[in-house]
Amino acid sequence: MPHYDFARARCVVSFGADFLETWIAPVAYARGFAAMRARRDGSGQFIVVEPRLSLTGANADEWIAIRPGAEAALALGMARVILTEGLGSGERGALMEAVSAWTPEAVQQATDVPADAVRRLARRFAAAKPGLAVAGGIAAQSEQSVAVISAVNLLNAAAGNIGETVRFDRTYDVEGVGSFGDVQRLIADMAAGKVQALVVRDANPAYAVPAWAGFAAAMDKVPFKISLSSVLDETADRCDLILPATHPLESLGDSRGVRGVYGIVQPAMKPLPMFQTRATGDTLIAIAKAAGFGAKLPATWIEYLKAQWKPLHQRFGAGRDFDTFWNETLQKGGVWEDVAATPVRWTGTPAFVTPELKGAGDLALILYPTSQLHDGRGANKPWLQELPDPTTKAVWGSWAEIHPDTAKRLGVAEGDAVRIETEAGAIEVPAYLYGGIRPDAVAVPLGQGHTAYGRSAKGRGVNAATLLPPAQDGASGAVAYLCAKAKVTKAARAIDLAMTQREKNQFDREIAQSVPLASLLAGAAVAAGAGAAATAAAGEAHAGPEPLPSQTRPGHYTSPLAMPPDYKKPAHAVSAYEPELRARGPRNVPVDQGSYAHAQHRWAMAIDLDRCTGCSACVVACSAENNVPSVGPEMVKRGREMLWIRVERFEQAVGGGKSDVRFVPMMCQQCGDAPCETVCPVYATYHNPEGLNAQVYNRCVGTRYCSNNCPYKVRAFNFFDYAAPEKPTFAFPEPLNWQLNPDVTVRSKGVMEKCTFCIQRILEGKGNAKDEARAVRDGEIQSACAQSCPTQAIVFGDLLDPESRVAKLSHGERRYWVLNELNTKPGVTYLKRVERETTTA
Amino acid sequence: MSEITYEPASDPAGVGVTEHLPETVTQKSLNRDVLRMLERPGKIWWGVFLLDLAILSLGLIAERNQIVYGIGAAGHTRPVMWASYVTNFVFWVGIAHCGTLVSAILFLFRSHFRRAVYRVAEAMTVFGVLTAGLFPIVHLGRPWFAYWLFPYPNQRGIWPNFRSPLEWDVFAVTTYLTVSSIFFIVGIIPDAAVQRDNAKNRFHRLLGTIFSFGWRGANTQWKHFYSAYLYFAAFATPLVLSVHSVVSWDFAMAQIPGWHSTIFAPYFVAGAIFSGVALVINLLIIIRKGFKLEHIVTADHIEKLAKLVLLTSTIVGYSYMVEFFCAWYGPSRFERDMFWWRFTGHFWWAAWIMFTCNVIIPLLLWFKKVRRNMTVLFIIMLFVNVGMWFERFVIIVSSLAHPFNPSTWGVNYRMDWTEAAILAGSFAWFGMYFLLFIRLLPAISVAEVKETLAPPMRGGHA
Amino acid sequence: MKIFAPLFPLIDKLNAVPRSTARGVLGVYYYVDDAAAAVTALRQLGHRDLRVYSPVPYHQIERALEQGPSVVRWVTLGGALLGITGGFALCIYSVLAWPLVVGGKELVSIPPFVVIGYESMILLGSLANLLGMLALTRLPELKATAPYDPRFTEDRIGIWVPCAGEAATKAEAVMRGQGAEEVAVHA
Repeated sequence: MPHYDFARARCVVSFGADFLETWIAPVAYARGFAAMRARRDGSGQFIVVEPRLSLTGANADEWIAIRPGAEAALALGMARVILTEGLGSGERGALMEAVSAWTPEAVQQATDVPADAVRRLARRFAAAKPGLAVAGGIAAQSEQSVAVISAVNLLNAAAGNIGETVRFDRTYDVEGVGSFGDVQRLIADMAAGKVQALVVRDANPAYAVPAWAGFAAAMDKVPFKISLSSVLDETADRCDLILPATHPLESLGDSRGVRGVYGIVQPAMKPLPMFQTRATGDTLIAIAKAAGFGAKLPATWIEYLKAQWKPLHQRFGAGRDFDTFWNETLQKGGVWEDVAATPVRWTGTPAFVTPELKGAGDLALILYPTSQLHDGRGANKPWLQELPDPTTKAVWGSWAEIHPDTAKRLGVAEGDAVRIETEAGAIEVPAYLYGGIRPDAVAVPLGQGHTAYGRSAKGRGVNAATLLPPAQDGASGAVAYLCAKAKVTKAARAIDLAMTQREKNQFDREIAQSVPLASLLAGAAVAAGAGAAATAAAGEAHAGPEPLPSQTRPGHYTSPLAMPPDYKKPAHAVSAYEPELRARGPRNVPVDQGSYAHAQHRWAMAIDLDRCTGCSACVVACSAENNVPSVGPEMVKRGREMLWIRVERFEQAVGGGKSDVRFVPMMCQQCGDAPCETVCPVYATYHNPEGLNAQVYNRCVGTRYCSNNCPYKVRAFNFFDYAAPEKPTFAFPEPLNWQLNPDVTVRSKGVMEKCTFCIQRILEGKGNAKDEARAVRDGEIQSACAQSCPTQAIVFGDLLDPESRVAKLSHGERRYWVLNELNTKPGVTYLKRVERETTTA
Repeated sequence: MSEITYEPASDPAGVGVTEHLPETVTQKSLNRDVLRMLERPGKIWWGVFLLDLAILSLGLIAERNQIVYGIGAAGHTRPVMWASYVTNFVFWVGIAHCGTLVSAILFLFRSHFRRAVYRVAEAMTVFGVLTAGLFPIVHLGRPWFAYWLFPYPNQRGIWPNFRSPLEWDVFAVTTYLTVSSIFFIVGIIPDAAVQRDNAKNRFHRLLGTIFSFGWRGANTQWKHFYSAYLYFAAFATPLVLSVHSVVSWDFAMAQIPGWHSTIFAPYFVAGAIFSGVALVINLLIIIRKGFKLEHIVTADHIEKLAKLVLLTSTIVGYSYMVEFFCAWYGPSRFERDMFWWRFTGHFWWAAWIMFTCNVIIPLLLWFKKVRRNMTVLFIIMLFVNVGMWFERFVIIVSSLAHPFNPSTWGVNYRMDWTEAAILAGSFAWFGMYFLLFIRLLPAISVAEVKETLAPPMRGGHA
Repeated sequence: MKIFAPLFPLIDKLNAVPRSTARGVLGVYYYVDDAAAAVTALRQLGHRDLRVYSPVPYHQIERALEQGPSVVRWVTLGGALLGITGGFALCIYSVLAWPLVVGGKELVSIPPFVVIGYESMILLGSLANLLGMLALTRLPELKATAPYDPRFTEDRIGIWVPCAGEAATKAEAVMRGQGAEEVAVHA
């Protein structure tokens, strides 16, 4: 498998590959993708080709809603245009043969993509030099998987991207990975009674293997089954013996992800004594010794592991003894070396035919993994169950995405239950009306419907994989998830879907703003020409550049309010755009006791909406850092989720080639003139000298007035006792209590809580700096959300430090403040999303 | 100065003060008729009282659950963080306003029809504030810390935030409770003396002894009493206007669309009087019928109150229109969206109940026949109170449910049984006080009604 | 009711009208003009400390007594002034004692404090008014200062003249002459 370099690409076309969610290495790809988007040279366009607009697709500039399964045809058609018009720099002759049948008209026939669009797309892609086409997701999970991937590879080859963005140096190390064929052989052997003992570790085949393959039934025929799982999942549930393994955070191990990189997995904590667990390696060694064939094995897993690293010590040790080498490697995380690119050559492509979807229904059934639950392994974690799905904002359940036109035809409204039927089975799920899906398709997420796997997973939603009829890719034998047509009808019973955001439209309220790329580029050119004048005006730097045309439309107040020259600023107005103004006491006398006069910092945040992909990693990071309780679906339905940060999604324009979905990470804006503070009768929330809206949980009496008066609605209220073990609403029953952060209070019943920019980390950072008798360095203190953001969309820092990243970003030309006309002077500055041109529009 | 503190019945100008009472009413019969209220009807009273206590205990059970499990027992959501409890608070404070209007403002305006009805109205004020005062505590997340809202010196050195409208509420409502209670109890003094001297039952006499404070009706007592009474009225009048203004500022000081409005203070005060007078009419109709006091609380009295309802109804209706007008033609799209949504969105039915009950149905009061028909009047006043409860509900809930940021829309508040039980319990709580009051102390001011009678003159009527 | 029977003696004792030992003459009137004339006549005799009981205050009697305005208003004014200054002082002291900035507002932000000052003015003014009234009316009156008759809260007017000896005889004659229903001499 090649290494895809998104950062170098000047145009990306994704054929169903959800590289920002689950595809191969989403964090690395998201980082590369953000780097590509950040370039300001007119490049960096992203086109997505898929029947259902995924979260990755929501970040695209253009959405080509292709007929399900026909992706290869478009790839081949594009390659044909590139080859016939001589646009690419790659080899021609051999490839031309493979694509000759796919004229743009033939492609239109097969894919519903107009012939003109095929040509324009191909020309745009070829002109990028280098571009990058990737295939994955549902496109690569049909009965034609290998053909689709080959076709996209061919497109890359035709455009000359091999060796540029599709590289074969640090390829993925997939040697040890088994195939579905291996699983099928195991099932056959088990069914035939040939397997006497089965050891399962870190896998849940009884759930994850599609029902038609019959794993569970075959497994029951094995006389002795051992699970080395650390959780009681469906597979462990069927085993005779469970030898619980340590949690991944407690385990030592090693890994080889890509060629030339050897990693050590270091445990993050000591194994907890009250759970009687043992490292899998130790268990296996003990079994082997007890069974009498392990005499040659070392006594413990760690010794075994060290023995395995002896050859690497020879290569990388550089004369140090083994223990020194081992300890250094542990600290670094591994060793790595440069590797030469493997030479690759074109060997022909399998014949491609549009896959035929089985079944009597009229809607193509699309089953897709979500980034939170993936294949179901995330379902036992309340953090992930309560993480709003980035697309639908639904939690704790399953749903079916249906196009509004189709729903109208079926007489289904949002939230109504629908029955989805294939020849293999039927499920009932609530409907979610989504403009980002073709009218002739229905999409259901995978990962729910567990029958075991703990209290958070069991009985939530449905397992959509039960709808799959037997189908496999002819070439690789992989399971085909795109293979069936489904019959969808309105179900009799109602199932309420818990969602954290029901409104998809921002009604022109400018919560999520954007700016055309062309106007940014023009602005940059003018600024460069102005040169000396700009330097002269630097004294008024905080005033920022001239407002952009999109900021000065009538009725839209996105620039700081214009104040008369003699306007006297309120004494305590420390705001995002007046960082030089220090807080002072009444009548401009420093308030010594309150220390407002001596404030050294104004903590602030800059959030780049052009980098934010909506992945919601920040939400989980925040919950983990700040002991945010999960409240369950019934509470979410009543709007009582406790999340301190949410990623708002607004579908600005979806469909007709457009994909303008905007994501806004929304947390407490730490307003300079905070509406919440004034209304609290007991000073439970007040402005601290460093610009934060402090929240004093102990003082809060729970009037909830602050939440009412918060224009952003970012405060969370403890409606029940989530912190008291004796209450039914306790949110951290064993073993979840071990996840609590000891630096942060667990809030009790009846108090308001909210984001304070991870104030515990700020205190720690300031303390460290003080111990070392130095100033706090920019970037040293990071909020949990900023730290976890794969695209670095969130930047945290000190506005009073003019050299800090956050200060520079906050003065950038794309800045704006949400609901700025309310004059709340937020400490969070947003940078507008960049609108790029589309090719087909 | 003391001459202006009351208007004696024998004033030659007459001011038409006796026109409402029939000739058969004398000072002696007044004593008898009013004190008879303490005795009869007995069985009906006990039935109503026990039913009232049953409803009250239901509310107490709901409140107990809410304290034990958390305020989540009620239907609040984010963004609708205030709902029926604050609605009830404003509703009961509003009810309370009528009493002070009748006893203080009409006293200053020398509207003598108040004399027969003001004690009932004033009792309603005190009990209404007692009921209203529960809700700021009931709605807290941690009600056991409600005392933190009071300014008291403590070793932590922390005081309440006097900039918060809720803190203003603390001052306004406690002042209102104190002043209206004083006004109420002081007003009872001469009548309690009547009860002490004339009641048959020794328990009633004991209450008279206690509440009369040893009143003898001496000239020096009357002089200072009426002088003080004038100042109570003079304080209570601006107080009653300020209290509901302060309550309205709980909303108007916030910047939520639908709340942030300068018209709120006069609009709320008018609404408060509107609902309060309506409830007074309901109570008076029951009392005059149940205790056979039609000759003391006459149809003329009721009709004058009904006219007050009509007046305030038009003020309230005007306020609705002005709010809508300002939103429609104003510069804020948030405000405009809010008002459109209020009448067409999720809570459209509440807004239309409000408009129908408060503006359309009271138009019937333009007809004199309606104003004097006790049955019809009673039903109209019930509608008015339903409408006024919904007015507060609409202002609070529908404004909160449609805030600035659309991402929080669509999570709609639903009333929980806990809230319904507490709402019913609040009526029972009010009813309990009122039922006890009419059996324990004179519910009609004997002394003041006597002033409306012609004084006995040997020289004949002047 | 029976279960309360042991309490009856106590209640009756509390309800009993305290007996006065003061010396003087008590006249009972029915007609207001008679009573007013009697007051005028008694005052001409030099009786300045008359005590007139009535179920309602009558103008005629007031005029006859030539009462001045009540001084309760000065007490009330004092309370009100104390309230408004105290309200503002509390607010200003509390924000300066522990300066906490909220909403970017000045620590001493006068407009919100007006509400506190205003409500405090009414509260303390009313309380002072109450105390002033109680003090001036000598309420609660626990011991009898003069004889009293329960009919005075029904429909009779009473005039009490504190005097003794010959003056009492004169006063009695004046009262009877002015149409008194009953005249009792307490000696």
